[in-house]
Amino acid sequence: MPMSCTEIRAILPAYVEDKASLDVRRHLPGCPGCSEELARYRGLVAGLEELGGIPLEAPPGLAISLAELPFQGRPLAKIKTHVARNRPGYFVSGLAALGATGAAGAALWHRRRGRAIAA
Amino acid sequence: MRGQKKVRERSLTELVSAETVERCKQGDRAAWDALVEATYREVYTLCLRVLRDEQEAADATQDTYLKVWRGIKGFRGDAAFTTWLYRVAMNAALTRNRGNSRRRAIEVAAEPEALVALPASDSTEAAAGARVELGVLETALASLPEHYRVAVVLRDVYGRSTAEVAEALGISETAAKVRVHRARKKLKSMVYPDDSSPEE
Repeated sequence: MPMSCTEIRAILPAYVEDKASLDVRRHLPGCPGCSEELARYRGLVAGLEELGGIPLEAPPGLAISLAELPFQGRPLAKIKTHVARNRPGYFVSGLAALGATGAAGAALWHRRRGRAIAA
Repeated sequence: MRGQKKVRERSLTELVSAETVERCKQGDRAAWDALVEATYREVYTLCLRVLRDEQEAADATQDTYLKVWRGIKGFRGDAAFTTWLYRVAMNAALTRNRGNSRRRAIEVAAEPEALVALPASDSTEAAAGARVELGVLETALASLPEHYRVAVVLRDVYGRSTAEVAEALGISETAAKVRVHRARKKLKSMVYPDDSSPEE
């Protein structure tokens, strides 16, 4: 029993690559709709292959940091990236450290002042 | 169709000569500069297409070149240098893809100059196929769900075999095929807005 257009179209994404289905080969000559569908898949796959040859725009300075990468003690750009990413964390930690130091200082000051008054 | 991958790798190979690779093995800084300059855009692009995050892609590109620098002395030239470079880049991008869930979606457009300079394909199959606008295709690719996008990028954009895709993603070959086919189907419905065929 011949396959329906719905069944044929379900296997076209594979057929565009391997052309293994005899059912599809039999169906296509008599079906302009499915033939057009196959043409779209072919165009799509050809377009994807073409994309592979088109580089996208890289960030400015990337080539320089890559070229310098092996010739520095530590990968500077990586460190910069790490710092930039964790900036909010460093800020919060800094504030917490500042707060803790302030609280300790205030406690010490109060203690000394209490002793001075008692004396 | 898979022949175009060989053309791309050959053109890159011409830019990275065996002599350049040999000089890099000796620690020649000028040769390393030349190697980076000839290849970094392609490596960054591969990483960006897998990760869809500019910062992640730049980091994966750095991971790639660090590994290449550390491993180049052991590179014996059994395969083309660029084949090895692509493999290292693919692994670096996939490692970051697996390990980092913090990702922001970005809209990426192909370089207009590159699109203008693109020669018309003369393959029979492409001639028999419907012409696709590459800028539209790049945008559609970026908006695919991650598991479909990575599979179709490796298979159709970079011409890796189904076995290689399966190995890289840690899935069976059958699962890799299914992902690629579903990705093509989704892409087709995005690229052709009048498309009426049912989606999976």
